[in-house]
Order: sequence, then structure tokens, then C-alpha cells
Amino acid sequence: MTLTLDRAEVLRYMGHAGGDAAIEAVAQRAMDRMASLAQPRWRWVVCAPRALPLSGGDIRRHLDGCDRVAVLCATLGAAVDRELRRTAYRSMLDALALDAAAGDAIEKVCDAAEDEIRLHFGREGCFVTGRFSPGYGDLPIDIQRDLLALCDAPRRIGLSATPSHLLTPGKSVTALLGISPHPVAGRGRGCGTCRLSADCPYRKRGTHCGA
Amino acid sequence: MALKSHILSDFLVLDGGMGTMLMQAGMPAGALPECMNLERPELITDIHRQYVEAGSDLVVTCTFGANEKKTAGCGYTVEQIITAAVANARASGAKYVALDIGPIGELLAPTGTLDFDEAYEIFARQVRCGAACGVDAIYIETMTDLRECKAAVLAAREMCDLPVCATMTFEASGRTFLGVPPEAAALTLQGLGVSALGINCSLGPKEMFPIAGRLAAVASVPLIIKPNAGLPDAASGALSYDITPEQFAQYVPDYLALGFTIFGGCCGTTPDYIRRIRAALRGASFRAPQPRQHAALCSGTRYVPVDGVCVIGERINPTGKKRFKQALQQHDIPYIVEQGMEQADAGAHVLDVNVGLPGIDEPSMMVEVVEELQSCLELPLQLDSNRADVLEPALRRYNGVPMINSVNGEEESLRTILPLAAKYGAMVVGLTLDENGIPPTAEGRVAIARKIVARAAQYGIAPERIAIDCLTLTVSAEPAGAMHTLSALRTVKQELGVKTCLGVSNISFGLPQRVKVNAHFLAIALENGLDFPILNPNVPEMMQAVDVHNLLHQRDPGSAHYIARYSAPAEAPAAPKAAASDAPDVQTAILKGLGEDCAAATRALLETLDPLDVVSRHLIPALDTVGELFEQDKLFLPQLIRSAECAKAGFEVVREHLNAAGGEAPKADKVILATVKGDIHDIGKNIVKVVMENYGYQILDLGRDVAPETIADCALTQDVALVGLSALMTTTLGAMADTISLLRARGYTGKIMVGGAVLTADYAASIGADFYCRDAKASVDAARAVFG
Repeated sequence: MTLTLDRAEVLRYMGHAGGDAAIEAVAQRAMDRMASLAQPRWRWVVCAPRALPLSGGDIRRHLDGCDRVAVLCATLGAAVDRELRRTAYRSMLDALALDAAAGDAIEKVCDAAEDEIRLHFGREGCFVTGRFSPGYGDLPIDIQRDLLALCDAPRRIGLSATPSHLLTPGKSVTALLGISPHPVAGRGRGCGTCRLSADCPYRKRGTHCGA
Repeated sequence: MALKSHILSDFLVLDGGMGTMLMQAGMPAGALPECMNLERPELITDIHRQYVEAGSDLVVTCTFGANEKKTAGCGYTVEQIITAAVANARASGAKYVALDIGPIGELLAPTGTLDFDEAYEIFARQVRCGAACGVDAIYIETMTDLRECKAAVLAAREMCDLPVCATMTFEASGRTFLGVPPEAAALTLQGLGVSALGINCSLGPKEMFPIAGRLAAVASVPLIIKPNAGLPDAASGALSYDITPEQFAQYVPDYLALGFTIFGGCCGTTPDYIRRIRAALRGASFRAPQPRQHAALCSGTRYVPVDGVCVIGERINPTGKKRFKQALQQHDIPYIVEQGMEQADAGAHVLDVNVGLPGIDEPSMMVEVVEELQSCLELPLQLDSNRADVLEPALRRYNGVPMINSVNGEEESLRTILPLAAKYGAMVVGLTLDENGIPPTAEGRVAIARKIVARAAQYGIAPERIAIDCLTLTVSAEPAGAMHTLSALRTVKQELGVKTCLGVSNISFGLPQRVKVNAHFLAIALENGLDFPILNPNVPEMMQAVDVHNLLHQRDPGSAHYIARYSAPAEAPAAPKAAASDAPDVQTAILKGLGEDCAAATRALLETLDPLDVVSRHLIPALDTVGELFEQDKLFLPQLIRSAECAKAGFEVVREHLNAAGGEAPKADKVILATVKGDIHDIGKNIVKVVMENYGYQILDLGRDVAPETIADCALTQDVALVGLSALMTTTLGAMADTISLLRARGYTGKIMVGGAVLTADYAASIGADFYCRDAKASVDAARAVFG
């Protein structure tokens, strides 16, 4: 896929440019680098909600009315991690920008995967909720392993998790999307389901982190 | 016939997919096939038997994921599974049974957190059990990380005497998920002594073909091809692939032409595919692989054949470098890595790594520096030590094939270093000196070179893997030395078929304008057959000599490299700086992030002010202003970091000024920074580091995924008064709490500050932290509270 990144988003992940043209140029450079560096890969499978060891009220509400769930695993690949390490030795400003560009890139990759899923089930006349990831709300992060295994992600797209459930390579996402024969809204992402909302620096500035 | 001689004299047909057959028999997705060995042994044996009946000479056990990580909690031990699996495979009547070993399922550091030695132990447990059960071979497959594959091969080679086969899996791009090119895979694996190597999974026979060609160009052992049944049909999942057994077998002649002799199938293949392969091989004539060795080096992501001038950067070496020695003593790994990056940018092909300094634990420092360099640079490395105890740990953990610098003609050296080069498949530099020192004549040095080459041959090391160093002597002390060296170089190159190596800069010690002598000597040495000049690539004249040599020797097709590098007009001399009154002062430069102006303004201040006043009255107040604006939301994180990096230029000027005056920088307060165990997010910690360094704190950066013990050891032995811990995930906050408990339990009396996205002030207090730092600025405030 061709990655088209959004400069305003990248600047927001960086913590705001404050109208500084030099900082904006740094962001643009990082975006160009990311577009050539990232190797987006994703894979999704469909299963019944009960086939997953789900716990917590938020995911139950998200999948309310859904008889199937699409499990999505996506990654930008290991080359991005390597370049982030290299850049951090050179310039932390560039590293911050590259990290932000990677953050936007994995979102765009997930958007593309979600479009694919919507198209697929749209053809069946079904409806699809938004993405809900381990760690949102009260959905524990330790189901990461089960989601990866279901997608055969280590073998198919080179994505695995550490014993502490961090995805490796680092710029990766797993998510659940509910599928239903009836229109469904899901439980939207955003501050309402975020456990950090009380103490969030973005919210204090009247904005949000984009998750 | 034993498997080892079989594969050197005849084709070998492997089996096809196991998972595919199990799913056809009704195994649910996500279940562990390995458990079926104990729960449905007759089913497993039946699948093996179907492959044997279809023509498989060798079946691999159903143990792809039978490692202690993947089978944790399944109810069976690794040993129970492997024992049952070998029995099931044997019961099929197969001629050969191999223990199948797949990836562990977690990534090794630096991308993941699994340590190399831990990976080795996991594989060793599988190998020990398989060997005890009497398998005929160890079969390692579907690897994407060359380093993980190396750990598995080493475990297999060291735990048993069985033949080892290893295959990696590539994407259509020609690299594995971790970026390994096929040439690096072949060079590394055959260097470690595998009996056969190849490609499996991910692609069908058609898509694999170009990658197979690249592998065959480097390989010198029998080659394995084990493709999927084409590409998976995305819509219907793993069960359906897009080519038939007939189509699959049509590729066999193409692979035979490349020299492949071992055939099987991976995902989606069934006994029908194997039957077709067996039929396609009927009547084909077997061609044994040509044993050959390559003059080549590699890292996990780059293959470097030595077929022209190969520049080795010499700057990672403390000899004669005060700043570098300081970095080693202070454990300043980032400074060392920066030396590597600078040389890579300047065009070095290989980096020499020498960390020998009295008082340094050289073996562990070598490993640490090598791993850190490999985590962010692609260049192959030269491990520079004459001590086997320094070389071996680094050789084990090195990702790829490095060069050893060096062995020499002394008996002790030959006896200890050559076996290491042989075992790890490394290239090796041979110094032409021995117990009697450096022979003054060319003949004497050639004689030692002959001895080294002959002894290396006894260990199976061909001349291609040796680079003889005829030793550069200082021309001011040994006027005839240069010509003796060049004469010896010419002779060893022509007579012995080796590569040659030379530390170039030695020639000019004690002379003025050394670069003139060095560059000219380099040009002559290249003309006399020098392959590996060891030099400082940051000196333009040296790289120019190499570029011109390549141009004149037709090693620069279309002169493209030369033109690209030198067609830009030479930079005009910098315009005279604006009058001092117009130049930005330190405050303005730091606020706007103008690094060069900050350096210039600092220099101007140093003309009239004491260095410490420059810091305390100009640099630090400027940073404070930036910090205040940041707190007031008038400046943002990018500007805060930019100002910090800009101020660095000013501090560097002060440091140089102090060094030049012979003074020492005042003793800095030490602060430990670390991302806690289990967490690999380090951008926040690194931002804190760059900001704090500017306030004059000496940061002991312990990195990421750091064990509580490591942090406590460092805090107590280095007498540190402030420890900063970072964690980004809710799942790793526990490790933060554990670290704080351990620090306190071991009697640490200093302060602890914590930060990270998911932390709150309340939580920080609840786990016993003294400071909760919401951002980098808050960390500086905490340090000021501690140190005043």
C-alpha cells in the first residue's frame, strides 16, 4: 500500500509545533522517511465472539449485537524499529518526529485494513463496528497472545508479543471489530473508554490524543 | 546409509505440510498440533505414513512449536511431546526422522526482549531430547531472524553430532521479516557448519525462485526447497492455496538447474504434492554441491562480498584517544555507537571494534558494544582482540559473519584463535609476526603468512577467508619499511590466494601533515593488491584515494560513484560571520535552536568569561527560559528537545575549552535512567536524557528492558543519588514497583523519580517513588531538588 500520512496528525503526536516552520520541516522529513521505510502488513480472521477469552464490560458493549468478530493484526515491520533506534542516537528531535510519523502510519495501515474488512462484509450485507484494541477501557492487554495466535501472526506477518504483552515490532496494532447483520455502532474509541482520561495532558489542553 | 552421505550423493525427498493435514482431519485453528502427538498419536503416525508412501525419504516430527515458551500451560512438557513425536514419526517406517524446530515465537532483542542465551537454552533443551530419542537429524525451519536461527544451529551443533538442516522464510521482496537477505543466511549458516540449508514457507515455488537463485550463488552445501502450495487464498483462510500438485512439480527442473537437491513442501502441501516431486526427480541426474569458501562478511541485514577495496573504519578504538577512553571508563555506549555511525556515513564498509583498556571488563564490553552497534547499523564488524576469551562471546552473539582481528604466527595465537574462526565461520586477519617479533624483511613476513595459511587449512579455513596483514611500520623510524611491507603484500597476495589487510595510518607517525603520507601510501598499497585498508574514513583524502583507485580499475561502472560524489562544486568558503553585535547570543540561539550560532556565541563568551560562568550565567539560564515557556504551553515538546540539542553544541565548546586548558570538567552528579524490565519503549527516557545532560548531570543510561538487579547494582556500586525509571505500559508498572522495592531492600538511600504515559502521581506515590515526573522538564526539577 502507499502510505499517505497526515502532517497535522504527526505534529499533534509530536506534541504540537506551535507554528514553527523549522519543526514542521522536521516532521515532513520524518514522514517522507516513514513512507519509504514502513513495510505494512496485516492479516485478519473471523471467529465467534465466544471463541475469544474476552473479559471486561467495554468489549462486551462494543460487540453488543454482533454474532461474529474480525480479529485484526497489523504491523509496520522491524525496519521501522531499527531506524528509530538509529535516529535516537543522532537526534532526539528527529527521533520524536519519526516516532510520531510511525504512529500515524500504523493508524493509516489499520484504516486500510478496516476498509478491506468493511468491504468484505458489506458485500454480505453485514455491518462492522470500529476497532477496539487490548488496553482500551477494561479489555486486558494479555489477550494479545490469543489474537496473534488466531491470526498466525508471527508466521504470516512477523508480529509477536513479549512476555509482558508488548507487540514486537513496536509499531503494531491488534484490534477487534464486531460484525452484525444489523446496524451496530460499537463502543467508540476515545476519552470515554480511556483509563487515562482523568490525567491526560491532551485533554488539559482541550484536545485529544487521537486514539 | 547415513543421512550426511545420502545428501552428498543423492536427492532427498522431504515430507509436506503437517498442519494442513491436521486441519483437514478436523483440528481447530489456534490449537497446538504438538499436543496431538500425545492425544492422537495414531493420527500423527498415519500422516507421516502417507508421506512415506508418497515417496518421502525423511519426515520431520510434529514438533515445530515444541519449545517451552509455546507449550507453556498445554499440560505436557517439552520432553513428553518430543518423545511421543519421535515415536510417532518412527512408527511410519520413514528412512530418516528429523527433529523439527521452529521459531520460539518471541522476538530476540533488540526488536523483542528475548536474550540470545535464553533462546539458546530453549533450543538446546529440544535438541537434547530429540537426540536422546534417536532422531537422524535436527531440522530448523521457518526462521526469520538470522540471530535466532544462529542460536538454534549452535544449540544443535553443540548438543549432538547429528547433521543439522536450517531453512529460513523470505518474503517476495527477497528478505525475511527481519530484513535478512538470502546471501547473508547462506554465508552465516554454512559458516556454522550446517549440513544443508534452504528456504521454506511464505511463498510458492514460483515466487521463491529468484530468492533461491541468490541463495545458490553463495551456498556450498546441499540446498533445500520447501515451498507452500502457492499463495494462500486470502478470503478463505489458511486451508486453500492456489497451485495444484502438478503445477508444483513443474518447478522441480528449474530448481535442479540451480543446484537444489532436497525437495519438500510446506503449508498447503499434501502427499499428492510429494508424489509428484518424487516422480519429477525420477531420471534426473544428481549434481553434488561444490565445496567452496567465500571472501565475504555480513550482518543480519547486509551481505558484503570482498571483491574490491573494502574499507575498514578504525575509529572504534581507544588507542591514543582520550575521549574514547573516557567513554569506555564511563560506560558511555552511545558515544561509541556515534563513532560507528559517523564512519558508516563516511563510506566505511566494515567497522573495526576494539574496546581493550586496562580496568575494563573487555569480554562483556565487547559483547555490549557489538550488540548495540548491530541494533542500529547494518555494516559488518571486525572484532579486534587477540584474546580468545574476548572474541568467543562476541562471535557467538554476533548477527552474521564477522572478521576476527587477529591471529598471528605465534603458536599460542594459532592454537586459540583459528579454532574460533573455524567454528563460527568468520574471516580472520593474520598478522605477519610471531614469537620473534616482526621480521624486518619481506621474505620473513611471507614465511609467517605461509605458516598461518597452512595452519588455517588444518582447521578447514580456506585462504579466501584469511586477510594477511603485512604490517605497516613507521617510515620516520624505519626508512626502508614501507617498501618491505608492500613487497610482502604483493607476494602473499599472488602466492597464497589470500586477501590482504593493512593499517594504513601507522606509516606517518611523527611526521607533519600525516594525511599526505597516508593517502599516498594507501594509493600505492591498493595498487599492490590491498583489499582491506584499515583507516579513518572521516578523512576525505583517504576515501578519495579509494574512489580514484576504483575509478581507474574499472570498479566504478560508468564512473557513477565518482561523478555522484565529486561533481558538486566545492563548498564556497563560509562568508565572514556577521559582526559580533548582530550574531545571536546564547539565549537567542538556544531558544531558536541554532546549534552553530550557540557554539559561536559560547566561544565568544569564553574569551572573557570563566568556563563555569559561561555555563551558569548563560547556557543554563537560557535552558531555564525554554523550560518555563514549555511549562506555560508557549513552547512545545519539539522545541524543548531542539533547544536541548542546540545547547549541546555550546556545552561541547566548553568541554573542549576545558580539555585544551588541561583542566577537568567539574565532577558531575550522576543520575541513572532506565526503562524497566519487560518494557521496550524508550523514546520518553531518551528525551529526558538529552534534556538532563544539558543541565550538567552525568546520565548513566542503562537502556530498556532493564532488570531490577542491574539497576540496583549500578545505583549501589556507582554511588548514585537519583534513579529515574520509565514505563509506558500498564503491564510493566509492576516491574517498576519491583525495581523500587529491590532498591530499598538492598539499602539504596537515594531518591527515585518515575515517569511514563500510564503513570499518575497517586500511583507513583503508592509504589514508593519520591518524584512523579510528567515530562522532561519535571525530571530536571526533581534533580535540582536532589542535588541543589
